[in-house]
Amino acid sequence: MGQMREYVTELSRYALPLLMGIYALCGFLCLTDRLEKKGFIYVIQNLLLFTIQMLMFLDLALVSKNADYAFLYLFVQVFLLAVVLVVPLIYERANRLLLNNMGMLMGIGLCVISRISFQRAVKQYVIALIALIVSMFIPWLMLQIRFWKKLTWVYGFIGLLLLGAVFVLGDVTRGSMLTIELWKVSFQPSELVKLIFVFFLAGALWDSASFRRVAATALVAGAYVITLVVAKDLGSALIFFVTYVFVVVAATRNWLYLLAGTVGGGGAAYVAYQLFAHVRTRVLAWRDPWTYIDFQGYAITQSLFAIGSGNWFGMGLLKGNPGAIPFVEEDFTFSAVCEELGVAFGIGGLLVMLTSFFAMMKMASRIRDRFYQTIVYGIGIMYVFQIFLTVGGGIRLIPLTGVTLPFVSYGGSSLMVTMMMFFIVQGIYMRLQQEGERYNARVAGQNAEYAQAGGGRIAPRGNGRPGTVQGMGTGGRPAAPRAAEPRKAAAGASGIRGTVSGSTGSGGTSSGSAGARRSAPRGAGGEGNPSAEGRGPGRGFGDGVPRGTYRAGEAGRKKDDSRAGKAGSRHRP
Amino acid sequence: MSRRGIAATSVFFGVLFAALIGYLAYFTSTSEEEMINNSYNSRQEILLSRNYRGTIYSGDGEILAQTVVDREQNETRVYPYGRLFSHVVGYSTRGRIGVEALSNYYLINTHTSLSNRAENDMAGVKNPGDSVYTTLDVELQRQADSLLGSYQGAIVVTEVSTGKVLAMVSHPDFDPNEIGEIWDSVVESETSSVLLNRATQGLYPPGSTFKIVTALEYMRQNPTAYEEYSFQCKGHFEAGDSRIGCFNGVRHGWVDFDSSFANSCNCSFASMGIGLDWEMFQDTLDELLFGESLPMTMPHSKSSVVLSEDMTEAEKMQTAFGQGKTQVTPMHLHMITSAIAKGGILMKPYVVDHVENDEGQRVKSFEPSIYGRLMTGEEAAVLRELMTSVVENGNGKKLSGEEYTVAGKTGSAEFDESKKDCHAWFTGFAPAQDPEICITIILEKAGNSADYAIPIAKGLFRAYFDGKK
Repeated sequence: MGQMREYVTELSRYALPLLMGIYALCGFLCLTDRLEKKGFIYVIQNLLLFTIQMLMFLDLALVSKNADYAFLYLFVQVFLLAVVLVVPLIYERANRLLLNNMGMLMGIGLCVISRISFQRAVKQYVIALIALIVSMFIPWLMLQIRFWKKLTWVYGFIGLLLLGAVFVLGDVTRGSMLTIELWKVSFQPSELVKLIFVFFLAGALWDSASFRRVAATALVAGAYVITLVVAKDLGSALIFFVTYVFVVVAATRNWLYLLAGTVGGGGAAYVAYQLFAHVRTRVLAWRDPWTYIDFQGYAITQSLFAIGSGNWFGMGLLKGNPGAIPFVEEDFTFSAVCEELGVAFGIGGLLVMLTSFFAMMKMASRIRDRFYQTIVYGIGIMYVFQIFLTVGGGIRLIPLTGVTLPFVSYGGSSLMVTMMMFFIVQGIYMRLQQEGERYNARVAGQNAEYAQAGGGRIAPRGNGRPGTVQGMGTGGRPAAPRAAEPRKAAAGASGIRGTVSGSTGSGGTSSGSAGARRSAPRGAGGEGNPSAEGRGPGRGFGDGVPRGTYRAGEAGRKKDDSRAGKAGSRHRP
Repeated sequence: MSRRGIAATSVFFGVLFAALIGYLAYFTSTSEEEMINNSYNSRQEILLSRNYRGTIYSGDGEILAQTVVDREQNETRVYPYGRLFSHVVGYSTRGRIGVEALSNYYLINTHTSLSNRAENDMAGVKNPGDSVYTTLDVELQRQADSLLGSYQGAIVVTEVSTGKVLAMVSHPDFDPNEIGEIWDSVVESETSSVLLNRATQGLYPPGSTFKIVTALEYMRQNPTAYEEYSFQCKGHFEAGDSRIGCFNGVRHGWVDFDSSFANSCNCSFASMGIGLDWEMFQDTLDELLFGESLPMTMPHSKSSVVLSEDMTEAEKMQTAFGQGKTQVTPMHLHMITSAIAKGGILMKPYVVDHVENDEGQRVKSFEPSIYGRLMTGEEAAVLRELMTSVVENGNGKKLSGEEYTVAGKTGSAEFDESKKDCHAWFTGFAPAQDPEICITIILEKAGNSADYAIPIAKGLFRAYFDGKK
């Protein structure tokens, strides 16, 4: 038993990053058109997922000698089976790469959280279960409900209301106004508002990207960002701002908005730096954490210690000390992963997250309905940028902002909303496939008619390429001009009313509409959002930062080696 | 929304993540040791709870520090040589200094085999930490320690070709075996400086040893004229309304560049100093690492020279011959001397040679490394000649007449105007033509002469060359 423990933990130090690397590689292969529809590659991913889970829980159980881990293991495996196998059974068109990645990241998250606080892992598990059950209905709702795009200003209003609610009902968490409590359940409105914000942007910009429309959305987005900055939730403010800029640039196809966003964001960051002490603190802790190691730099230096000590292959589960990092389960989960499972494993995780993002971008590029396209695109940006913020902050590439690592960090609101986002993407993905199939069927029928009439043939493009939304408008470049008629018919029949691409004939077929869209005045900007600023160490330190016990040691213990010498005072004979 | 726009977005974030991963990989591969060695990192205690602290050896394989475990698994850190290596090997139970601090990362990690680890796990004992082999030479260290005797001060001995530290002594010293018992009294005492490693952290006025630097600068500013230099020393020298004198009021009469240096004529150097371009002098001092961190891993103080355009004549003169506000560490002066010995090239001094696991396999080796040039080869050659004539014809005569020739410079540094008490310096190397070792000595309050340092240098050179036979 004892001997086995050493061998198993040593084996898993190297096996885990290797398996993770293969898993990520499979993910990238799934992104190619050729392998996307091959089922076996997803099965390989599933096998890797469960092997990784087994190794991690074996480590946990062997090192801790605690049977509780056996129970947690069983429960987690049931949950993961539901995610990667049951969901595709119910929704056979679901994107399995996203499901697998979701399962992989949640599995890792639960392991790491349980290693820091078993109780919290159980709580996280329960929330994950509820989130899954709720989210399972989302694709169905996306397919049923047709009025999503009519609620634009309702989204905008509700979002602002929720964000504002923290000021009335909110609790101060670590110096930031983040959570509100309803019926004994506390949640972070800013998480839910992320979702609402994406819907708002999609609703506002799908049918027109005129300057007036952009300016109107800028007002709403600005209000969101300012509210978040005042509530000291700098990370969320930054995520909203960046998502907004990207979505506007994509919707208008006007790169000047990117310039305007960068300049405006930079200016706002500068103003915020001058105005708010908490922004300055974070920049200070980023630039020179070692000088301020006792206070402002404490969290970030502890995070660096964790990563540096873990190094490439980690100290092994339960063999490090991730608890030394303040707020590790929420803000520094990546550092905890690197400490015990190794940086190599952590990089594998980053690649997995990146494949999720690429998969979303690939979907977005296939969708012709601009409303749904914007939603997928916006969700992708939010997801990937949040990862960049939290990981980049934890390794001191950028200032810390204290946001969660989606699916991995502890935090119910974050988990719930991220999962909902993924299932919304799934819903849209299924919908576009469904419509694509309907269209293909119709085209096949039309061809038969034409063949009888001695006419040409409409190429049913995109067979084998799931989700090229022929049904929604362009239908690929029609082989014959006459195809225009049946194409419209198909679009009408698909049930999606007046999709932009269908009505304006975008996709490059009609230069006129493209020109119209570009008629919006350039360089307008209008987004005076104060955000890109400070993302500093975990919000509000100083209070109860868990360094008491360690620091209580005698003076010499804490002193750096050079300082120990100073005991005798600098010698100037 | 165009496909191209979406593709550009994918590429943008792909690149962003590549940067993220690149930085993470860079951080991971460069900073493990630094991160673990930081005293704020609680993982040190975790590693120590799993591994016994490794053993520290001298260059010839003698144990300098080891952890002894009794039957109840109580660990004691034992230093068999007691006070002898107090500063350079240091201690590890009240904070850490010396090699205990420098190589802490290796000492608390283990590279023992997996089967050993499994066995230890079964037996419920810790794993043996890796062993650190230093460059220190027990015999030289012992000689240096006994020659320094009851003086306060420091001695540094390094190998010229590599920068290996062979001996490093600082007095007053302490017994690291008793660090627990003496800790409170040492820390509480305002005046005690026993924990200070004077060799690297003590700051002293350089006295006449600074004439090495002034001579170098004078040569640089008068590339050919310095050979024709001559000066009449009357035992004192006036500039403006201030007056300085030679040590003990000696009159040196007519001196040239070489004999000014060999006889350490203050008046002559004061006169050189008055004529120097002090802005250019500042550049040379920067090159020689004054006011900078030294290229070594041991904690050390920064030497300082106060130069400015509006210095008075008196200040210029004082600075030129090594008094004034100048402060150097013995290690810094030693590095300048050893660079002269190595033709202008500074080797980084180092004290940890390699690391082995419990089965004697090398885990890591530290190779000699070059910091860079402090001066040109020609400048180094001239300075070496000057330092040789100090021993052959000047103040260091007592070092001559051996099988080997010594090159060096003495110094007596006044540290208190009111008392006529001096620190005695010696810095030099041997053999002068093909230097092997470099020695720097400082004796605090040695009395009225630099001569006290010379017998110590002589004893150490002898010990080294006799040991080689």
